[in-house]
Amino acid sequence: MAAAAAEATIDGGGKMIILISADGKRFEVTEAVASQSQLISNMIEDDCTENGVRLPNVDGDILTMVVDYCNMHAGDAAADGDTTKASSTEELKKFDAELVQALENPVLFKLILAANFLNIKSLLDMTCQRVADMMSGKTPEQMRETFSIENDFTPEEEAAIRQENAWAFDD
Amino acid sequence: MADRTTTATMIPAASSSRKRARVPTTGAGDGGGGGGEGRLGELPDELLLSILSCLTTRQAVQTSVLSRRWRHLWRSTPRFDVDLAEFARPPPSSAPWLLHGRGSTDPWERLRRFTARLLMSHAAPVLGAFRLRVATPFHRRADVESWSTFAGDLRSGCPALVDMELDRCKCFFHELSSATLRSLAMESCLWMRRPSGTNGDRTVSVVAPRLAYLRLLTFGHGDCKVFRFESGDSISEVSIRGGFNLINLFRLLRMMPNVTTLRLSGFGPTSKYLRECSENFPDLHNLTTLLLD
Repeated sequence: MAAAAAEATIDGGGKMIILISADGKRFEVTEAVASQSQLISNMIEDDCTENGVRLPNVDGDILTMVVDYCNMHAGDAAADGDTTKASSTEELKKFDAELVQALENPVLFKLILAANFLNIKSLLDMTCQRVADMMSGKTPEQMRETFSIENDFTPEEEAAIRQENAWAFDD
Repeated sequence: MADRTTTATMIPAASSSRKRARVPTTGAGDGGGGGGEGRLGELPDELLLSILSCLTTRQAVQTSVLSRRWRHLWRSTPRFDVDLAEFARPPPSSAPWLLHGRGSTDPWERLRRFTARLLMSHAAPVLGAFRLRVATPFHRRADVESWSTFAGDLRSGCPALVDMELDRCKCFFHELSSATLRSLAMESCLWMRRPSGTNGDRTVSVVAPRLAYLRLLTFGHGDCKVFRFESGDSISEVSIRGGFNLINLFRLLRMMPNVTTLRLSGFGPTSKYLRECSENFPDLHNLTTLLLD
């Protein structure tokens, strides 16, 4: 988060960028960290990060997580030279697993939207995978329950679809 | 054919999240998201499809009964992942609608029917990946025969395929051509001879001018002899594992002269091969990484 950024110009010679969440929270991160977001990376290339990057679609809570994630993964993308900074693969895996597993659904979905908007592919893949893991092995009823999906079919319609797609349930 | 151009709609920034708990990870058990926000249903189709792509295809199809929105969504999933293991289980007793089944309990038969229906019902404009997982002994009469048409006909059948993985398949096709394929993995496949007229020739010619990555896990000594890469110039990364014969291996490698990364494993006693290796190793001018293990 912002505190960690204070002296960060030292490593990698990175310029600092300010990210501003929908609710006005400010995060100071290095360009290397921020450019894991393809969106921001493009903005850096286009030189339009001077006055901070406003992210009207991302709340502070979510942006905190995104920034944590990017800080943690900065080693992946950054120059190979700086070995002290790069987190070990093991550490990263653990961090990622803990990050997604601890999330409640609403937060997970917002994180997916943020990862999509910011275009951070690894984070998007990981969060989508998490939702898929939660669906996997569940019956449709259990899926509806887990994800608060309202069944707007009439019983007849539902039966018809089950019939139509019986080959996927069993044949 | 669904030409969907879903745009990513974000939750409006102002949507009342300010009052929500600052610490989002508390385990307060509000599993479904309760109120009007933070539901799966708020994700745009494009993202739901990303999620469906992480499921096996069978399970993705099952989401069709969730609600109206989900009904046809799976059809656009850009990726197939069909796993025989899913067809091996008897129908769950908790699923009474299965009882009508004209049910065969043979997993192969069920898988075959499933894939036949799948190919008919699927409607994605682009199929990016197809994965067929068959974790049983392949001596079992694997009905991959019906895939022969599929695989040989990738060019017209799957005009945008980029990633193909064949794992323990009994393969009846002798030509694999795709203008788009970038990654091809074949593990322990059994290559069948041509039916007649060609003296049992079982050469498989691969015409894939975009192919960059090849992984081959061989089964028998003859495997490397099977392939003929008609346009191997594009291949940059190759990984081969198996009890192969060096002459056949080198012959194979000469078909892909621009390889930069080569990984070979599963050699026999290395010393025996080293001399032959150094003498006859094909000229791979772009090779930067060679891994032997």
